[in-house]
Amino acid sequence: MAELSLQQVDRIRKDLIRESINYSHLIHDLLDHICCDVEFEMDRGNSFEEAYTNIKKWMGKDRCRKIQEETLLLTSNTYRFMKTIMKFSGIISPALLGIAALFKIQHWAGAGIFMSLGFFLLAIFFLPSAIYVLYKENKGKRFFLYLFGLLSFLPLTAGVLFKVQHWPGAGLLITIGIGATVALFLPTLLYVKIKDSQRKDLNPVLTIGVVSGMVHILGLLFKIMHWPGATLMIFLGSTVFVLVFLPWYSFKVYKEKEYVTFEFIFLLVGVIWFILTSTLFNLNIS
Amino acid sequence: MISRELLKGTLKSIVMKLLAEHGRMYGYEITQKVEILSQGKIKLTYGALYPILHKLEKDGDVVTDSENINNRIRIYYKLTKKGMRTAEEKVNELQTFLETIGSIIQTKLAFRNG
Amino acid sequence: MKRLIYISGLICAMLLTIGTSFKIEHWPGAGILLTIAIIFFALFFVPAALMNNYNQEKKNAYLYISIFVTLLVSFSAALFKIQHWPGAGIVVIVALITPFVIFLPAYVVYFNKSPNKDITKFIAVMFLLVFVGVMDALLSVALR
Repeated sequence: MAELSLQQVDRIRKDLIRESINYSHLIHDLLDHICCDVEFEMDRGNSFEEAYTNIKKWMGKDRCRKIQEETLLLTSNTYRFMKTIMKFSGIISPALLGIAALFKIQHWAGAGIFMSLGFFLLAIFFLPSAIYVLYKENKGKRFFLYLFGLLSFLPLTAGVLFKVQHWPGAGLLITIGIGATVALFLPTLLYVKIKDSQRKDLNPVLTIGVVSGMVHILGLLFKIMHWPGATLMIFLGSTVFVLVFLPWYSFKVYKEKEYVTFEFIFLLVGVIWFILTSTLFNLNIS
Repeated sequence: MISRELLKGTLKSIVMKLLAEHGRMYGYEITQKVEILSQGKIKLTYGALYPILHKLEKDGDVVTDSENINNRIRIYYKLTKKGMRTAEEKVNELQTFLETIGSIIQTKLAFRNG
Repeated sequence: MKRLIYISGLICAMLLTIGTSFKIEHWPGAGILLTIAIIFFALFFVPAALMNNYNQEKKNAYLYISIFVTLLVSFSAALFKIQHWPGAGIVVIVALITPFVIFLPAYVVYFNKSPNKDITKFIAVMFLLVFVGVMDALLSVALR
């Protein structure tokens, strides 16, 4: 009868913690059950690595998150209700806002109605239900990451759409959005990435990346508000990000998988898009 | 392999019956027992078992205690008095259900052959 | 091959950053740098990187194709707009619609097929699309 060592159990435990399994004693249930399954696989002649990989493959990606979700759905009526609201408003409001943006581009009348409806749904239905659901599913730092993400993203998008509609308050919303991004979301992102990462040597790299990103985004805010120093900040932020962080990070992360990861593609595409967009902004507002 | 759909409604009753008969069990043990008793036809997945166990705990039908086993914590489930009563109800309900379905299937087949 | 892809991506990003700085300062050569960077990125890095990732598991080709098409169109639009090439208006409108008409359906199909459906991720992608769409809307309105 194979028995897992403390290190092996800890390895599995860390993976479960990374998936944010924190409802009641579910993490103990799953850890024990997975360990038993791995021990069984090892009895059939596999090494720990092989056994664990087989079990993970059989379970599928994010399986434990799904189990936590199903457990929450079954045991908590409030959660079930909130999740449904979050699902519906989370799909309908972006759709409405997307339609509003389209109408605006085409100079069709009625953009305002879609926008108001979309934001109403977002603020009254989506925001509270999403916060509740996210809190139930992830206690701790993950929750704050998502919370700050929402608090940055929503005012920012609102502000941009207000600007398009020439509604009052656009500037305030954009300032709140960017402020929240720089002061709340990005630091939390850095914190979560550092805590989650198995590689200590990435910490300085990630810090430089996030800080240069902060400077760049803050620079954009300064530009919009016509405050001095904007151009320097934008230049500094983007240069350090692309010329220092990006190569350094890529070099460190390069060996981790044999293929080009989606994460890398997403990062690079995001960076290119961001630079293009902020350049177009820059050229336009000056 | 028996389909998940057929199993869904009956899983709770099956789990409760096992707990009623064997007293104190942990999750892995329950899935093993089910597999053995069904001659390998029913493999309880994590996703099916734990939501049910947690729901039973929330409803007051089971209580849990824990033990340190082999570098991790093992959670044991045990029926409460209320749980015992519920288990009896559920098993009887399942029994009646199976008999009813059984007689319908029998009748239908007889009709086709006759 | 993987190394080539990584390096090409990084070089494109660097060229782009330098190019945009030149553009803002109105230094000569900005246009060439930007054009090279964007074309190389859209026509080499993106398809090569996507292809490399796809070859890992060889599943969901339609999703990769939709991503490539969307990105290609979007970057073309950005390039046309920055360089003030004729026809920019049409390309921009196509670029605004493509994410919703080509990528979104592909993503919905992919989501429905995946075994462990994470609705939170789906909503996050929706919001990302909206954000990108809204930003592009603002740009096209402002640049008119």
